[in-house]
Amino acid sequence: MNKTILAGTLASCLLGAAASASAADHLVVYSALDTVDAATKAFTAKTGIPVDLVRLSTGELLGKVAAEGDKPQFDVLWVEGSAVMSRLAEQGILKSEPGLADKADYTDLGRRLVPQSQAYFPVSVSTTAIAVNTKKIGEAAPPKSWSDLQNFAGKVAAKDPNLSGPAFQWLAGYFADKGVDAGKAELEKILTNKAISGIPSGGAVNKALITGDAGLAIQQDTSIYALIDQKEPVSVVYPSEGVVAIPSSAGIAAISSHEDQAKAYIQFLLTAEAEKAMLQTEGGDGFFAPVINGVKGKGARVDNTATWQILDDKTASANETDWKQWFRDQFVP
Amino acid sequence: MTQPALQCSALAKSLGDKTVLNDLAFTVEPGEVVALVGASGSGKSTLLRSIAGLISPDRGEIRIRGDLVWSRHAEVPAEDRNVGLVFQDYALWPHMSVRQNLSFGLEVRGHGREEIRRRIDHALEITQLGALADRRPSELSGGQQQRVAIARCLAMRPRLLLLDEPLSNLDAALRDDLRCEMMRLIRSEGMTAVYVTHDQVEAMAVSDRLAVMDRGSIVQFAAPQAIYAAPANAFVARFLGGFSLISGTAHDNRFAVGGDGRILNHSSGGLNGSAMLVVRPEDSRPACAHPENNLTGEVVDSAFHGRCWRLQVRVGGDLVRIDWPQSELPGSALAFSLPPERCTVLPA
Amino acid sequence: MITSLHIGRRNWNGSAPLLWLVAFVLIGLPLLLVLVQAVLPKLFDPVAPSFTPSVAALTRLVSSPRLFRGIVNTILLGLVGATVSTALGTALALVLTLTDLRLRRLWLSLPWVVFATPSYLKGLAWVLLMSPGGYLVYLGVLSPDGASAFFGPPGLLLVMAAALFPVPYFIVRSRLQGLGGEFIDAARMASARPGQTIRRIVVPMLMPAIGLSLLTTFAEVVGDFGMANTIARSMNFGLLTYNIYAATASFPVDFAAAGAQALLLVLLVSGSVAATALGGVDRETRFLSGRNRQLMTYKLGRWQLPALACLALTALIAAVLPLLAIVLRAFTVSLGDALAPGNFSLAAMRSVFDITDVAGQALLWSFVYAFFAAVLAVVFSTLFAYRISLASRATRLLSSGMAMVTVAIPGIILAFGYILLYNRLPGFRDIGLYGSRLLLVIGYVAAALPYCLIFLWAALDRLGASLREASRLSGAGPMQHLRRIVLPLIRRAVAVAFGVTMVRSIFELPMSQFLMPSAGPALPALIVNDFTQDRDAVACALALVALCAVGLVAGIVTLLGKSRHLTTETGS
Repeated sequence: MNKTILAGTLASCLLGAAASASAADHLVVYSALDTVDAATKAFTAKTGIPVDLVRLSTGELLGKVAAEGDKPQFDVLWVEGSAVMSRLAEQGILKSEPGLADKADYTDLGRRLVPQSQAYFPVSVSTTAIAVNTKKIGEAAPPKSWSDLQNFAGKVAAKDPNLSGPAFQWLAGYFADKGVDAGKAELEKILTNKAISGIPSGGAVNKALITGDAGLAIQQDTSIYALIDQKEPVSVVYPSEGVVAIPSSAGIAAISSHEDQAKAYIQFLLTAEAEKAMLQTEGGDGFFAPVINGVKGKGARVDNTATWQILDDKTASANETDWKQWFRDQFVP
Repeated sequence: MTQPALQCSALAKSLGDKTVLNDLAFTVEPGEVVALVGASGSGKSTLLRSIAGLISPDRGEIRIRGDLVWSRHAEVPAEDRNVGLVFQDYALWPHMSVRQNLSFGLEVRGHGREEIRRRIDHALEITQLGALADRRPSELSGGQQQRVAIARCLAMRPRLLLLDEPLSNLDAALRDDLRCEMMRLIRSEGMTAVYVTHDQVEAMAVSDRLAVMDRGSIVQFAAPQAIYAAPANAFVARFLGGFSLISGTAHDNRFAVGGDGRILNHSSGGLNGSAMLVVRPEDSRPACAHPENNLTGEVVDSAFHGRCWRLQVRVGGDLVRIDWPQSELPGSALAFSLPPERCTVLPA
Repeated sequence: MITSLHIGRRNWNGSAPLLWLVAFVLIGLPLLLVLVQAVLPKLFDPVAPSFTPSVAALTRLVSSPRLFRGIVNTILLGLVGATVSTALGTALALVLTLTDLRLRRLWLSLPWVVFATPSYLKGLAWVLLMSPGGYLVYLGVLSPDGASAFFGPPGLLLVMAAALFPVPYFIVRSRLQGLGGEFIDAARMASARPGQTIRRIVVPMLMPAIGLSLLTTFAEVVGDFGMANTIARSMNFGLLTYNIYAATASFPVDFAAAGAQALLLVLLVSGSVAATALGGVDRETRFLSGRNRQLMTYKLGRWQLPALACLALTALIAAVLPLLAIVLRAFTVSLGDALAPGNFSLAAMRSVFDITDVAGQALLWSFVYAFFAAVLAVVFSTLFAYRISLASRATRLLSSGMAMVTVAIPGIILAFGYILLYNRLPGFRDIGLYGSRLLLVIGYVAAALPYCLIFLWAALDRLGASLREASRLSGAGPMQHLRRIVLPLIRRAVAVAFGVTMVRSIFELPMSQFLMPSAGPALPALIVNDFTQDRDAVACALALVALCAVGLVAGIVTLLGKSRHLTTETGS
């Protein structure tokens, strides 16, 4: 047994040595978007700069970033959600880079999404819309607005904002548009089926929509386009009241030791070349709405980003706890 | 004529290519206590477990009180044979109290509560375990556990009691006392018992008849006194311990010691050829007592045995153990005689 | 108290300060860093860290109207889930160890297969099978209403029993194999039928193992969120773990709330361990003394067929159906078209092998990580469990309580603790382990350690004191006793612990996500990422390849073991 212990310790030391040896000093990018793979490959091909990617789903990635706190291990962070990035900027974790995006050929929405602090820059955008299972609603007329959903009470699936950032963004936008009390009343009339009213993840929402009890879903439009692309019997509806943009933004860590490379990376992301490469990605994220002129979204995506609204992050975060609590009490069993 | 309590015929069992039971036949009369002795590997435990029903032989028949309990075509499972087995390490159920250990077998057979209580009380009384009835086995001494194991069997009133080296876990002082007590119980209840042990002293003390086993066969099956007086062959003689064997040649009633040509008279009848003379330690007499049956040898060892000295004497090429009234110096020569009527000669 | 004149070497009293320290650094310290934020919320604040205490998180917890209901629901679910899964695991262990059931080798591999499939896959599989538009309804086996009825208490209990029975099975079987056969022989001589023997002799003698199984599965159910939330959404049934996941899902992570909720779980599980100890379930019954006989098997006779049918049904529900669902999903394109003939395609499988650079590497590295994690975990837990088995009853109780608590706390909390420890805590952060492969392996070890300890305790528990005393009198030290006497006797349990750790680590999720090395992702992170990106066909394909790889390696190991006579009995 002593031999085994010796072998085990030796092996772990080797592993440790290999580990630290291979932790070479590359540019480290944290991202929750699938499109980062294609974009990074194109970046490295063009500039020769090697990149270490850490790709996780949004929730886990943000948890990791939160735990890393003031000693972030990333050089570039690229995630969905503006509230997150603005908070990181406030805490001084992201570095302000004025003028970084001046050369980017932003669309109107893109330009509007660049924050004053210029600590982070929008790379792509999506929103929350209504997914309709055309087989399940049968002869009924599909909804045209959020309010129309009341006709489908009990059959609408929604994500739990307590467990999903984009879902909270949608809820905040809903209240911003209709007013808090009216919005609450309307939602109470729509989300009457507790089994599908507070689903933890987007994937589960899709399952409920296609094979479960839901006939409609309040879902991120990238996900809806992916379903359509997979030939599921689903169509997308942008409600007439308007939708709130959910941008994905990239920022640079304040303590980064690779600032120039990081800047080059973000600037690359804001080129048509990069966005076209990102469109090749399979799955929901590849159906993003581009923010660079001259690039068209893929698949069934229609270009209606001009009408998208921008959320007031301050009001949203001020009321976050209350609204999340209310949703949980109302709709989560 | 009453049926034998146990009858095994033509029992055979092999494990791999090793023969464990070799065409064995074996009968026990009702009320009899039979001891099975043998070295380890002689098959005695296998025979016992076959009778109990925990092992199945390959061939043969086993009958208990005339009922067939095992043959190639029919088998009565162990649960239904109503045979009691006292295990070597007692196998008392550790999570049950003494009383529960005793009542388990009766409960599963469906006896009424009154009947169970009566039997348990009787069993506890005759084994003097009354005060310990509510203790767990882990709280009892070895001797007490052994008594519980016996009481457990007695409470079930088996047709046959099997004992698998029940005293081998106990120290010497306890062994004697418990042996007496155990046999008293068995006799007073009139039970038929088969007692397996490797200790030949114990075997001779408890049994009405003694079976010596060697490599799957019964070599001699007779009353202990008979075996003691006339062991059937060299193996039995050696196994009963204490006996010494001198090799030589026999010619009618005379025996020529191999080593030094001495001639002795013996009482074993007309044997010719190579033979062995059985010398029991207590048979030795002073040289003058039987001058025509003298042996001389060199004293190798002299040990005090309480009521006499046990000497080891080299006679010819063999080492002989004899009891002697006084100590002798190792290295000195010693002459002693053996009474002819006590001399037994076996074929080699 | 008399101090020994000999210094150090012959330490038989179970004290092992170094081992306790390692265990603390591995598990205690990371957990503490999260739990302590319940009262010191600004400890790791990125802007202005401070030690100012605050009971806000705790008061919020206590004053929440849903708290009491959450506790009651969690306890209820835990008790029922633990009972059902322990009953199933015990029954399986009894049947496979004590009877001559046919096809034993097949059934022996069942718990391993069930154990190897991670719970996030199982949850998905049941949704795929049982949804009103799912596979079983499509095939006409169930009606849509019948399928909907599944997503409630009966379905949850079924899924939990089918998913959690392997751990009780391993524990009980290990104990059973150490049971001396003569106790059963004595029962046979007392005319007891097999049923009576099992009920009144075998099961009571197994009580310590059954108690341990109940506690472990209780802790597992209490700490579960994914399965309960997926299957039993309509149950009007709040669970304590929901709040932990809600706290960690917001940004910034509400560590104070997560810590407070985790503290609650700690109290709940410690309470149940204490209650069990007081109830005397762990009364000392050690009976492997070196002279015990082999267990003889019962013949099933005419019960053979019904027993086979029951086992086949269990295998169907626990392993075959979920795996089938995963296989089907891996080979179909659209979820809506279910099993329509035109829906089958190799696209998902092909993409797994196409992106061989990322997925293949992740698979390979996951095996490597898991192997080293298993070696380290087994070595450490053998030493630690052995030491604890020599210690006083209080120490043993405390350590088993801590193991249970670690099982109950969701893995995500431990993973957070690791980031806080190795990236933020002064001293530790300077070691430079964060982001390395070694830290990921250490994380796997920490996640698997409680299970290793539990399995080894169950095995060590049946060794009688006389074995140890014989060694002491021969002049042996405790390490020699471990090496020459104990290890050979618990060989099988060590092998089980190794296999269990390796399999768990290949699919271990929170650690893989939070400690992802900068050199590249581990497999589970990839799989779950594909799920969340709606590429569940690819995720299923990836998982399928991984499960096949695990099966292949297990098969090779078993064959090697047989050919070298390493195991006297195939499977374990």
